[in-house]
Amino acid sequence: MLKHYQMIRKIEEGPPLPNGERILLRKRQHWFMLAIPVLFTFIIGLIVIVSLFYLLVLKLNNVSIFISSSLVILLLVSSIIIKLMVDWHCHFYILTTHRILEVSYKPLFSNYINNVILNQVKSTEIDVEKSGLINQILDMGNVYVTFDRPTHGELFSLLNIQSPRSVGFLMSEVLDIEKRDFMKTPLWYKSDDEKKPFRITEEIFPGKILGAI
Amino acid sequence: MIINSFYILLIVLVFLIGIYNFLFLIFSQKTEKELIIILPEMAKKTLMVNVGISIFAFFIILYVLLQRII
Repeated sequence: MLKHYQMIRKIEEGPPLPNGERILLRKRQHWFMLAIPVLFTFIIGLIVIVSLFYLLVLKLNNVSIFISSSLVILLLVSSIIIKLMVDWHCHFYILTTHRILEVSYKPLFSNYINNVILNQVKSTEIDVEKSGLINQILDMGNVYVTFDRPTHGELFSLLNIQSPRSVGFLMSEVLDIEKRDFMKTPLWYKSDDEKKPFRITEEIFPGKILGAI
Repeated sequence: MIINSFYILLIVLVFLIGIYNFLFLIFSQKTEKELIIILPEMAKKTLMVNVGISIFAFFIILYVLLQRII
């Protein structure tokens, strides 16, 4: 079983697996993606119970049928909320030194595992997207990793995750480590040269380093 | 007659919800064995409670319905 300390963000902290593979990142979708449907279900359930109270108790004056139907509504609402929670809990992304995995288990409904083995592919692009007011406030967004032709230009998407920027950096770092021999450091993140940490500044403003970038 | 039909509808709904919760509980435990994660304890307990309440509600509603018919 995956322990709490394995849910990490930094490289080199995960315990090695038997083949020397290390878990670098384990991430679920942002809690907001769970909170909204749960809240919506709860509100709908409440509205239905209030409507039944008005119809059955105040209009028809039948309390027993109101209690029975409220019980059924409560059961239905709790079942839906549990399903939402389990689906959210069983949908996660794992990044190791050897692979990227997307696991989506919906018990009783569907299973989906997308496993990309890093040494078999070449990453061509990592896009970080964080659009919208709520996404900006909650630091929620998407990371898209595009692979090359052997994988038929597959797009690996990490959707609605927290801190997409730091995940994007981490993924670039990992993919860069894997392909260090023939892949240059991307423009948009730190270079290996500590004296010139930002390649973009040395190209646009020779001799200057902008701390803000 | 309409009230009795409503009770029958409730019984059917409770039965279906109970079966669904029971199956969901079994498949959730199966998922735990297949995946490297543990489901939240609260979710498992709620599923068990739901199954229990479904059985309880089924018999209560059935009792009320039978009382009305007889």
